[in-house]
Amino acid sequence: MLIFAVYIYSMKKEPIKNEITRKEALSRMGKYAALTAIGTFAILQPLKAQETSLPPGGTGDDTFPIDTP
Amino acid sequence: MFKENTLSEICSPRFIVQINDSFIFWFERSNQYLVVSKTINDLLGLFFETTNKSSFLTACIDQNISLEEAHTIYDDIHKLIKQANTSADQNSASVLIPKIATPIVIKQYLLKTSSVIINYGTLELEKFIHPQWAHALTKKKNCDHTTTFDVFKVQDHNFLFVNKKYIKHYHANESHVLAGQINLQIINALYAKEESDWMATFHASTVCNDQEAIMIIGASGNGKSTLSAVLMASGIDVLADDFTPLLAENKEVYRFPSGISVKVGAFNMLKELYPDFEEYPLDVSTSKNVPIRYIPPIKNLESGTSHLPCKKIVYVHYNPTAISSMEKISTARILETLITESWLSPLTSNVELFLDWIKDLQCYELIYSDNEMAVSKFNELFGS
Repeated sequence: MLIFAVYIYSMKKEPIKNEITRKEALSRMGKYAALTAIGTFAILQPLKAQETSLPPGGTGDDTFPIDTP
Repeated sequence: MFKENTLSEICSPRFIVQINDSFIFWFERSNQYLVVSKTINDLLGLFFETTNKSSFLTACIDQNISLEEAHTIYDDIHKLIKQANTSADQNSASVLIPKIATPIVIKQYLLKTSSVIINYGTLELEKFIHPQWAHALTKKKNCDHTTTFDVFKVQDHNFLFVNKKYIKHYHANESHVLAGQINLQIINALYAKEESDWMATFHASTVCNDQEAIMIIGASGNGKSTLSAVLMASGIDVLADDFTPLLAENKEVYRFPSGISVKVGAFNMLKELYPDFEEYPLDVSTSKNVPIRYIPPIKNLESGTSHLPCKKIVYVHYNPTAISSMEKISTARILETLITESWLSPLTSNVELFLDWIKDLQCYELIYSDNEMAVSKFNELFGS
């Protein structure tokens, strides 16, 4: 059985390289089944505006991660 | 290189560059990048060179691809290029631009020979913005160049004016974008630039010696700023924390002289490195009351260089259970983080320079649990 290397981008935006079968590739990437089986691809969109990862201060948003170290 | 397709939603890429085994396409209409491997690049080339689906299928059959498979490949490429040409619109709500509000707090910051006065319209905004600039606070004085910011809230929106001129407004829950815009306006003031002069502002920290800069990227929570603080404690100059501007004119990264933001999870470790840690400005204004402390930079615009070339990028990942390691990786591996976490100028001339800049990058992945090892690896990278 042919083995295809495919990059699947997780929700955490970390590339995870897996070796999966064509059948698995087709089921994972139904939208681009043919291309997924052929190679790797990713559309990357830059931010529309300059941003910081600073946590907002009392201004409404309350989501930011705590540094791990 | 490619023929322009007559369908407006299927525009050819404006630029294509090859980096190792990857091909990067840039689409002008959407300011989006498409990164593909060689086989898909070959098929995309065929897609743009052929005039219609029928000729594409014929060309595929000539290359021993079955008709059925050629159909699905064509349909996939069509969808992919359509998506690459389409970007989600950001519909900012139109609001009446108000008069500048009377400030509650006024603070002046001295950044070399320039000064920035920020008129804060609310205490919340002062608590949010001031701590990262507290180290530069100065008593009121006249400077050669003074830029005045007014930032205030009216109903659900925060407004930013610079030198009494309206700049932008943001919904109150977009304070990270407001902060980014303030950062941009500060570097514009410091270096006498405009937005169009910048190739990018990266969501990255950057360290340097007197010859070169090394950028540190990583997903949120991976410890970019904490690593910068660790490196600075060892004597390494931090050129920028969290916000690294890259100028188009010379393709160099510029000093962003804010404090280094470290979150509560790193406080105990950093107390060991910084004896005065408890004295540093504390931001406790977050709605979850998770404190952030700002470590003053050891060098500023007077004592440190203002801009340097940057040809090395380190993707950092803190993992307390891992054995520390630093390995060279392909540029393609870091593009997803570098591009999607940063603002990249949509100007065609700047994009061309950006693609030229990334061609020469040397990229590394640092997995670390050991501060000493991280410091050692960075010292090795400088000058290597």
